[in-house]
Amino acid sequence: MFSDTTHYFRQAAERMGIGERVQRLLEKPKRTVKVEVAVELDSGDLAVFQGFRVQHNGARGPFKGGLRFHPTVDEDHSMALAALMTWKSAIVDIPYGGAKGGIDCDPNQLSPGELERVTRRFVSEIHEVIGPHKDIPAPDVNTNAQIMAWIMNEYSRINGYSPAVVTGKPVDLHGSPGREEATGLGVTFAIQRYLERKGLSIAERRYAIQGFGNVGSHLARHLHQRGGKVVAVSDVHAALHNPEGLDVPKLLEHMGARGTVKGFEGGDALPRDDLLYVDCDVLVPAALGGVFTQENARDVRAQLIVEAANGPTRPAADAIFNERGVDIIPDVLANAGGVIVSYFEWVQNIQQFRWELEDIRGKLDRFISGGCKTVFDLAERKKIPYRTAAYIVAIGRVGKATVLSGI
Amino acid sequence: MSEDDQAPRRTRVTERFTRVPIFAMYLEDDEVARILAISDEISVRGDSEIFGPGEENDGFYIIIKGRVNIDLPSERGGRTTIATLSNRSVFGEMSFLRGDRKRSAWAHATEPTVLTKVRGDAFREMLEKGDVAAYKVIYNFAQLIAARLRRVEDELLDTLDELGPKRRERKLAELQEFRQKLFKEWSF
Repeated sequence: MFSDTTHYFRQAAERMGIGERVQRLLEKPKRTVKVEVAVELDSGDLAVFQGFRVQHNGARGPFKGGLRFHPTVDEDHSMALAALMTWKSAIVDIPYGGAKGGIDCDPNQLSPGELERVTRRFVSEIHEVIGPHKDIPAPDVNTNAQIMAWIMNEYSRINGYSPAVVTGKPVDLHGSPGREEATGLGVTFAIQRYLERKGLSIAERRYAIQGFGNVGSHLARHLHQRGGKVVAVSDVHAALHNPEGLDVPKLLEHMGARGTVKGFEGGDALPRDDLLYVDCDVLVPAALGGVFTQENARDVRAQLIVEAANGPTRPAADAIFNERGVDIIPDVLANAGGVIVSYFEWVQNIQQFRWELEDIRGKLDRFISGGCKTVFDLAERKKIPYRTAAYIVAIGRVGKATVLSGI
Repeated sequence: MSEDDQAPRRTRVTERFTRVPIFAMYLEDDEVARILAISDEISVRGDSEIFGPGEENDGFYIIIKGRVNIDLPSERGGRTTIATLSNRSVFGEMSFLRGDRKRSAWAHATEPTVLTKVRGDAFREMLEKGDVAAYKVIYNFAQLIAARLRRVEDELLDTLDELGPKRRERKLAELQEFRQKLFKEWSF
């Protein structure tokens, strides 16, 4: 996936006719911080982990991006993901540069006390390079609202009360309402804007959703509320299909009780991977990266793919979809709802003011729709796929900020 | 010590190694254990030599804890430090992969250091037998070296750009062209 991001970036840069030197200038991170995170385990042993923070491009604003706690975290992965955050923020026009980082620990092997000590130690090591106007971390793989609360507290101990240093905090501790549903609702708005351009509406279409976690379930709810027919869903345990449309409120109730879509009676069980090939209008991968490959791209029947997950389409599959005329709303646009509501959380923290949920939904719609309009207009004008257009918008905005502020 | 005591211990040891970059991708616990079975743990005092140029190349090292400088002979007969490595870094792998019989650099522990040394002949034997664990380690080496090469290329191009007025001119011209593209052809 990491090299896929680079591939799509270069594809767009070449389409723009940008030289190798400028490409490298835009790709290179501004700063990489690598620290040792030494903590005492409950057993009394000392454990030393490595922590990273890569800050990619700060021309448009302070750095922003997730912190992941995972044994595979390293500098190269963080670099590609930090760049992805720069492009994503630019496409939906929020005033951030991209960052990414994490610690190479496995939180499942740590006690809550150990996890808290690891988090606090990491903050004390990197506190000089993060801050409300420098770099604002957020949750990512294996990190959550509790960890963000510890980060805020540790940073505040050093620098004074600073809720805006981190987003994705608990709602009771300066978090924002609407953060939970943000990505799923953002995907809904992106679909709506696409369909409107074709003279259609959400109500007239059939949807299949791969992944029924935080993103997939909120998406299903919002599509259903707007009259959309969700004909298939899947999670890690099972896939369900009902050509007449699944009863989404009942399915959500089932999910809440059982923690899986498996066993829901309102649809027929499907082999899990077959979800990608069901007869539907809009297919939404909302779980994993790399699901569309050269081997399966020709079997997809949907006319529109909306990438709620990060990196679901490998470059070979992307080329096949383009050749077949299947439209893709790319991840960098479709799933930007999360970072947009993070932005709202940061703004509320700085304003020391709380917005209502309806306010947040309205503003989220404005930012996603603004991104869609710019990307869709450019794609139509230049006759290029949405993904290429999205990356061109990103390069254009970041490039302008870079040259205007003086290289 | 009972067997029950040993079992979790081994898992902990294997876990410790899954965070070493050369074991990071695709290696299962039992595969890491197979590599560790052909390895020895070595402790060295601070400010001591691990190996030097001309010594026999008999494997590569993983730093468990501590700090190691890699020094190359400099033109005037001294030493130039090219890298300072710490926990979970690997060294001695370049000459091992090249198949050199002798070491070309110094490895010098600058503080009390614990190392795991993977025996070169035993590792080669695993490769000859087609043991997938050894090939996975080689794949991880390839990833590390590719990333390192990319960084060197970037540094080289930057250095070349800084040298010579022609290259600098070309860079400025490219930036100028980029600026024009942004504000005319690709404005939105």
